Amino acid sequence: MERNTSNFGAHAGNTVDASQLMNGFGLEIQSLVPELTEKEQRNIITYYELNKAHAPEYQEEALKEFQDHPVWGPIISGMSMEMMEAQNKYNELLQEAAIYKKDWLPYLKHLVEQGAVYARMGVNFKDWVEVVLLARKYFVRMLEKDHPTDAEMVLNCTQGMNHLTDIALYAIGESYVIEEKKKVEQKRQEYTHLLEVKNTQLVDFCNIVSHNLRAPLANIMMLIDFIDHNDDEEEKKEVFTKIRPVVNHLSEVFNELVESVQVRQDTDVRSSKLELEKFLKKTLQGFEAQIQSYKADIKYDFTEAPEVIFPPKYLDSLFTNLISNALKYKSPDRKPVITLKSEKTADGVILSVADNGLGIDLNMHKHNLFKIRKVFHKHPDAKGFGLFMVKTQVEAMRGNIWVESTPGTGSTFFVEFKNETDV
Amino acid sequence: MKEVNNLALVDDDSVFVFITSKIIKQSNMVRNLQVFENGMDALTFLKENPDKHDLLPDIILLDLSMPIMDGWQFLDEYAKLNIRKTITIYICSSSISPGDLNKAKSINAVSEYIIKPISKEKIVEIIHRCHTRNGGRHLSN
Repeated sequence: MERNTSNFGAHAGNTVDASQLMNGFGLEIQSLVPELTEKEQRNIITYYELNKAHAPEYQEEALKEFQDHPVWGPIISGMSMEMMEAQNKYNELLQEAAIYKKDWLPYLKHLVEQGAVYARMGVNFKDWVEVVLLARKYFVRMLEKDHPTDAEMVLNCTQGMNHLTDIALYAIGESYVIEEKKKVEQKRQEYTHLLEVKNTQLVDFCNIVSHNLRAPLANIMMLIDFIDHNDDEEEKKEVFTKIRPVVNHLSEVFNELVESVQVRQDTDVRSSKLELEKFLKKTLQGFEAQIQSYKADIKYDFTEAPEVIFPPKYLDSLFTNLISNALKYKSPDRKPVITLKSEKTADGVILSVADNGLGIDLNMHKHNLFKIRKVFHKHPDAKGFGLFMVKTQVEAMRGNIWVESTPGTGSTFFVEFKNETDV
Repeated sequence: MKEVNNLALVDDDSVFVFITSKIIKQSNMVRNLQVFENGMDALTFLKENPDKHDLLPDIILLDLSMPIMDGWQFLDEYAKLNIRKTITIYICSSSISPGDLNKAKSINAVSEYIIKPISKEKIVEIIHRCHTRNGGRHLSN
């Protein structure tokens, strides 16, 4: 009844690239090739020939037996007779090469491939074992019925069947091991990537604490030290007035840091489908005065990808920061033109915000552009928090942000939104 | 008694510049205090005066985190300059990150990494050191 285990061969629509599947696993397959004694070889042949002789009637009976099986039933009924016959024929060819010519590898590879197909369909290895055990019982029953007097033949034949189906089961089991390994490897790669991202964020964060929190603290220490070691009351007073602004600054940086940490840990933040045009118009209302006084021209084309999946709060922050930057760093020589465009990608949307402003020298500032409290222009409003926050928010949603720029010509910021952002 | 002609602060932090200037003036050891808001301003000054030893700083206190051009970028550019005067550069930063400290060690031009806050004693010490190295000549007032 070995036939039954492999009858449920490659399923409709599931094609497997054998070379891809075997890649890297050749050794495992090789190790499945059985070393048979002469007696085992004889028994297997006895079984195989008997089974082949009775194939049509056995098969019909066997199909009845399995049609109600919760897992195999639907699979069998999903296959046409022609398909099943073609598969049986192919299987038979490979089995014969294995049994008579000891050419096991093609047959074993075939089994491993089939196992992989079913593994991916969600069939458990347990179901394979079950179907083989059922088939064995059924075959012995038929054998005893057809050959009631020849006990030795029945025994030899049963042993041959058990042996051959064991070999097949091991091969199918191997495909489950391979599939499992692949899954583990994939998970491992995902986690490694996640760890790398987290580590970069952590290093960034340490740098921020080191640079941005320690600086005002050091100032306070120096100011107080000076007051302590000086007698001139006037001078003391003057130095004393410097303390409060530093404390305010410290508190500001501290709050920004807390805010950025909250974004990273904001598991409650939910994405929804957002209309870019609607959001942009809302954001532009806040810039109306600036746009009018600069005579800024703001164009947009969201026809290709009118929506993104993103938290509303973050999209608001993104538009606000990018528009505000584009206006803030406008060129003194021309009126500002800001062009927004959205494009579809395989798994999301890329939004670009282009301006004709001062531009950024990326050779010098590439590494610092999105960092906290980094400014690149001698501009009184430059604070260096906006882009840092936008990057934090975009990355928290598994997106990306980058910039292309030519000094004196303008900058284009790109934001990549991923379709599935829920972690 | 002035021991050093020119000391340059390269730092965008106005409070640090304010208080450090006060300390340096009080010490009465430096003739000229030069302040540059960022690496670019300092670099431009050095480039414009490569041979004017009396204008070039003897000591630079260099901050790392600055706009326009930060301390590291300044050091990169400084290495390309052809200045014959010995300028002692101290990094003076609030960063305590091991990455920054190690990077500073790898740069020849940097004499020492001073972690802010900088004390009056430390300032006096580096001026003395520079003065001694210059042969202990007292600069005439």
